[in-house]
Amino acid sequence: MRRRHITPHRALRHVVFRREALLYGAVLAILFDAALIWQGSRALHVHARVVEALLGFSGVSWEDGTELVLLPGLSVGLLSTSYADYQNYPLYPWLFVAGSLAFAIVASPRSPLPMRPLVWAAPFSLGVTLFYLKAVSPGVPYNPEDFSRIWYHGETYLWLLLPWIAAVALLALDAPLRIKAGWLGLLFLYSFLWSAVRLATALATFHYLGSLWMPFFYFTFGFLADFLYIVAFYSMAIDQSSRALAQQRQTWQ
Amino acid sequence: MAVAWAVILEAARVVAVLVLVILAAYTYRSLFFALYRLFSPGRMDYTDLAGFHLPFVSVLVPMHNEEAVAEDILEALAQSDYPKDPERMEVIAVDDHSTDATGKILDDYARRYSWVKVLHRQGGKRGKAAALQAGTEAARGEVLVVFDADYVPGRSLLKFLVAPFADPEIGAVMGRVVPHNVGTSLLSRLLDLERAGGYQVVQQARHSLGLIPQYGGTAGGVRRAALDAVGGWDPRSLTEDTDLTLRLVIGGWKIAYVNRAECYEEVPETWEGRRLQIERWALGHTDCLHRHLKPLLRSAYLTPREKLDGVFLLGAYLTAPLIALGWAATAILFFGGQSYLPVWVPFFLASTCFNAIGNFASFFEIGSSALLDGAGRRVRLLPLNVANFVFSTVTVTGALAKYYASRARGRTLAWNKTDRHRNGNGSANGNGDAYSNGRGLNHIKARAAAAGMQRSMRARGMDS
Repeated sequence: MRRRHITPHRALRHVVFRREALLYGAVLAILFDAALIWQGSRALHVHARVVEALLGFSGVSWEDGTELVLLPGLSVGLLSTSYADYQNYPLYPWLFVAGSLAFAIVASPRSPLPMRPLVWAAPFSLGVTLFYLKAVSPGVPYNPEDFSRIWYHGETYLWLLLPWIAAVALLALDAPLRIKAGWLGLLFLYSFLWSAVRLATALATFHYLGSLWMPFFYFTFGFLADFLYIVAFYSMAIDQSSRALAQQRQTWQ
Repeated sequence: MAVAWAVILEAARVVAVLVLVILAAYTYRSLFFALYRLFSPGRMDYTDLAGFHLPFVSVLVPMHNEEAVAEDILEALAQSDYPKDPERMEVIAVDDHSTDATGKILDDYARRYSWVKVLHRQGGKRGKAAALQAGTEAARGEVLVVFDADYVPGRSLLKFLVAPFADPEIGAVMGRVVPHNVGTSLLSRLLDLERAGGYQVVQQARHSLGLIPQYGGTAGGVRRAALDAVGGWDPRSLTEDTDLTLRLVIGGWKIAYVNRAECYEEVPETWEGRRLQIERWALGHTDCLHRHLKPLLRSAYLTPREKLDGVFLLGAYLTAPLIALGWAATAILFFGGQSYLPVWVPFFLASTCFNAIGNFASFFEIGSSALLDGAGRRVRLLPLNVANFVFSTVTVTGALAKYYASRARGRTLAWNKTDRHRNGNGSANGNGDAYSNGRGLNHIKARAAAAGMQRSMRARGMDS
């Protein structure tokens, strides 16, 4: 690996742009969005059944809630679960705040510097919520069904947007279709299943630990979690695409 | 109480929308740069001139207690393929108030090589800009090339870097900075990704689009006449590079970027080192915003597109407190029961777009650079850059709070020197030992070559 002199890295002058690749991406995005609106209710029904199964596995009781119409022709039946009642467990909120604070105090000095804001996220959000519950209102503004409503709104819009992100960031590349289609398919599958797991985890946490945890889940288990797996899938697709592009020697300078 | 809460909610709405609009503009910019760089052949026009335009170059290397790295850069310059003719090249090493062996090392090199000159500064104002000013006064070259002491120029860097000066409109040229200590820590790997996005994509796109590539203060050259025309180095500035970039473009000079002019740097290996580095950048950059925004907008030499790019450049560090403000506004809206419910669909859509694509845009820049460099494997670390993003946001927000507090009290801010992790051991004459010891120029070369080798193997289809 040793060289007498450091030589400049070879780099692609540019990636070959094929209009048809972008066109295919746009067509795919339109078709996917159309399919999601047309047949999305079935998919969301499956999503809700997965959440039900996970809640059942966790021992959380649920009832059928209202029907949420996300877009014309696209709806999902919400699940109604409950919060742990802090009137029965008055020490819970204080214990959670104190416990997470103690964890942060112990873990923060041992954590790498960039992880410290994340370590403090739990005590901060729980502390703010406790202040809200004591000083402003005895309950957070949303019940678990509202949380599910917000969740399905968010995820549906994300699923409508994802093909467009993929069309620009991935499908327009002059890389083999199997790489693009493969990673895109895996991304949607993961997005769908991971969404159900996260929603069930959030609802089970509210059921056992109460409403204090809602803002924490809202801010860390929502878009942040979505963003992380989107970037993860993108990075793996780029890894494979770069190998394919490297074979196109004519574009190397 | 109810009225106050209603006012707070309304304010949060306004702030959230305002933040979204500003960040959406940065998002659009990032996406545009990445797509343009990916798919456009762009401008590479000066690269072909390398070796044909060889002006008299004065290389300035300001040093303050740099005994660990001083030999490496001087030895790398000795191995440069730029003609060592006394009328073509001189190296002026400025020993700026060093208390270690830096001065002795420099004197040794001056005895060995006639083209090395040493300036010992023990009095006067300290700091890089003041040292550069002293070096500039002693320099005879028509082009001044500046390196920080911990940088190692590639063998052909000078030839590539000075080629654009054949164009009389060019006032400064910036080369590409590549970390050589990649692999020493997770942070250095993440910074390698970040640097690749910044140079391979953003700087090259700005150059190709005729906007304002940033002169980076090291691994860059400036035309002596242009520097004199804009008043020389400003010793008041914490980031003399951004300051000079703005003064040059406001004065009608163009700045070029040459991707092939590679220089190898030691990026921070510890998060504390990184914190100090971005704090200094944030403070200096924002100070430049206050000093140069009005002149930039009034400049008769700049097109509206260039002015817009300049505004984006100057305001880059303000996005961190804006993001923090956006988080706070979103939290208030959440507790106000007004977050993302159907009545808020437009806001919801906008914030979803930002969260899904806006945050993604800077990652897209890095992904694009990995494609162009053929450095795919390393890009799998991309999701971990979220920690870097959160860390930078918190650090820059804190630094700017400190900046505005100091400004309100009429105080000036101090300059923090970045830690060096190398350990000089006479590597200038070293052989394989330096590599196995993990020290010295040979080690740097081997590490950088290994990184380059990986990419080159990809290029040749040998990486299977």
